[in-house]
Amino acid sequence: MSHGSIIGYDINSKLCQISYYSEDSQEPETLEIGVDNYQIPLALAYYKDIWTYGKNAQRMATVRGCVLVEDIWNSALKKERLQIEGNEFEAVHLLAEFIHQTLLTFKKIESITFTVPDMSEDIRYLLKGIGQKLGIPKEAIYVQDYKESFCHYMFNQPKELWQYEAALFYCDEDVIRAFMLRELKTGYRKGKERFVTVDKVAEAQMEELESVYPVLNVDKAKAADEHFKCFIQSVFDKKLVSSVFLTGDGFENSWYPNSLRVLCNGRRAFMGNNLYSKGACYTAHRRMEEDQVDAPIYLDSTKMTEQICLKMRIRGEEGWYPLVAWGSHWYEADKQCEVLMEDTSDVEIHVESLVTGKLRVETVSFSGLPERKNYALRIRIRTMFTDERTCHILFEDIGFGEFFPSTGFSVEKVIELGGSNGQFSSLS
Amino acid sequence: MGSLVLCHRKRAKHPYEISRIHKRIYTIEELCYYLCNNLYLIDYTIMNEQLCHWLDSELELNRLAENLLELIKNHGSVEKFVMTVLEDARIYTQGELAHIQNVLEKLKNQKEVERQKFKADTLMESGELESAILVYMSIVNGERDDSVDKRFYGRVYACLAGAYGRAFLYEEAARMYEKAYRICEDNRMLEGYLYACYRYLPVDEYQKMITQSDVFLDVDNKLAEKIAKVKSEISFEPSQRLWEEWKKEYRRG
Repeated sequence: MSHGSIIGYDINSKLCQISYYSEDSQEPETLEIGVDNYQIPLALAYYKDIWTYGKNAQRMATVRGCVLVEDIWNSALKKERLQIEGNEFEAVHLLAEFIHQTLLTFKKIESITFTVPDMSEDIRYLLKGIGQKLGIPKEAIYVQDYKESFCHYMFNQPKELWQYEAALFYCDEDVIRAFMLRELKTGYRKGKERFVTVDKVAEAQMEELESVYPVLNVDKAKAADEHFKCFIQSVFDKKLVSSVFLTGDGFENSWYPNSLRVLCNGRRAFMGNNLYSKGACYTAHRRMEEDQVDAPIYLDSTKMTEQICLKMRIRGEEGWYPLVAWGSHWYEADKQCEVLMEDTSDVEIHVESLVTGKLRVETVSFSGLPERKNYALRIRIRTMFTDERTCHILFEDIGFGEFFPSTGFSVEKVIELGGSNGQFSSLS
Repeated sequence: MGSLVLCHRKRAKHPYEISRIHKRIYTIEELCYYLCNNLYLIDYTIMNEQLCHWLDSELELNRLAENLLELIKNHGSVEKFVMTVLEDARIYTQGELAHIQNVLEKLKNQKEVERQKFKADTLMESGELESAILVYMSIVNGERDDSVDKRFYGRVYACLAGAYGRAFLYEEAARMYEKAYRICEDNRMLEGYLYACYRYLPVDEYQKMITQSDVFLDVDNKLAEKIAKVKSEISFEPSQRLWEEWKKEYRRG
């Protein structure tokens, strides 16, 4: 059976979950492993030179001579080598094998977004590398954390659910975390863009959760409910919250009737365990579209608060085209596009800062480039970051098919930026 | 400030060959360039299903391909076909599209010889003198079309003379201006004729020639004034950049 080609892949140290963009419903759907079962245990079993994954791997573990490998995620991040049946395997390769097997039902992957609990440079590098090994083009692979997935999930829900702030509660066997999606106030007033972020606003280790998860102890559940209710009240303190989302295995037993009343008071509440993979799937879909939809821009401390634009005619309309867009990671902002030049006069580059609200204008001279009429001068523009503060923009004459060969002309402009360090925290 | 136009992302893996000019195209921008610069060449050799399928499969312009196929099926005009492509590409401004449409309308109502002249004029404008001369010659040496305005051939001779003049072939230019003047009796052509003679004849012969006629003397006086004015306005010391451009142009030639 073949599914869509746009994938959201939620992966953590224990489980993975896959959502794909359905051509029929034009919405993400989550891959069902069994009846009402959408989560795949991150495990591989090795038996007679054959690898099996997920639940089957766990079942296989009972077979004599079969080896179950479970902590693949952490081993891969530590770049460990594992000894299995006298053979040595790199944990990274095992993780790649697991991801490969879970994606076998997808014949062609056009865009994939991995979502992980917490992002790091190592995780991004690891998952991008695995994606490429599976034959997916580098630019079609994106890695984001759960907060960004929550954000993209919300962008695709009815507006009334995130008109004000939206809350996300996560609960597992011993911890509850609260996250809040909110709009950022920036100094930028030129366009109609809106900027949002997701903050972790509270976290509580709750011993009482032991009594409700995994098996509900009715008598002791009251204490957990009371504790959770207080936790919610402290999170919602004077905030306008449009909607609430509950996720994580900890919410599976209905141990929180009183808390639920507080949660649903004047707002809508939802529960589910596929929010992250669906959010990632929305990201993968959005990244494929040429026209960026009119959704808010997600920012966090790792993302750029400056934008580099060039004025150009875009599908018949004059506008500012972002060579480097707000909310990009500098290490993923290398990009290229091709333009036709009407003439060879200087070109203006705008560098806009969200933090200061100011606009800096840089110019690029094309003197030395021969004039060519009738839109027959094609220039390739490439952006390359050498570090978070330095963006190189290269303009190259690439010729115009068999009509005009390239003149070999090229010019480079270096744009100095403020970097992301500390910039985001100055936005409120 | 320079103006930029964002190109379409898609580039064909397999190009489309335009048989009339023996060139292969890879992008919608190249197709538009060909159409706009060869409006006189547009006919049913470009309006074909093969091009539509190429736009669909190679450039993924499915909607455009569908519309063009529909147009062909309904025996739509070539002009409509061209405008559909150009409008969909969204490279051109509304003003530019209106201008192209005007040219297409004009060409549509023209005779074959007039279309040929438009082709040669376009070649002249883009500096392709030799090609322009060949097309002008094919008109004046070809079969006469008596249905066009009788001054038409005079104008073609004048254009041919202009092309010869730009190629520094003044003797040929003079002969053509003479033919043009005989048909049109336009003093501007006489001015061109005298200028070409002035450039290729020895001074004494030129002087002898103009003294034979009061009209020649009169036109020569005006011409002398014009030459003096132009000389005073141009710089005889071209910039380094201009030298480089000339060198490149010469080498390209």
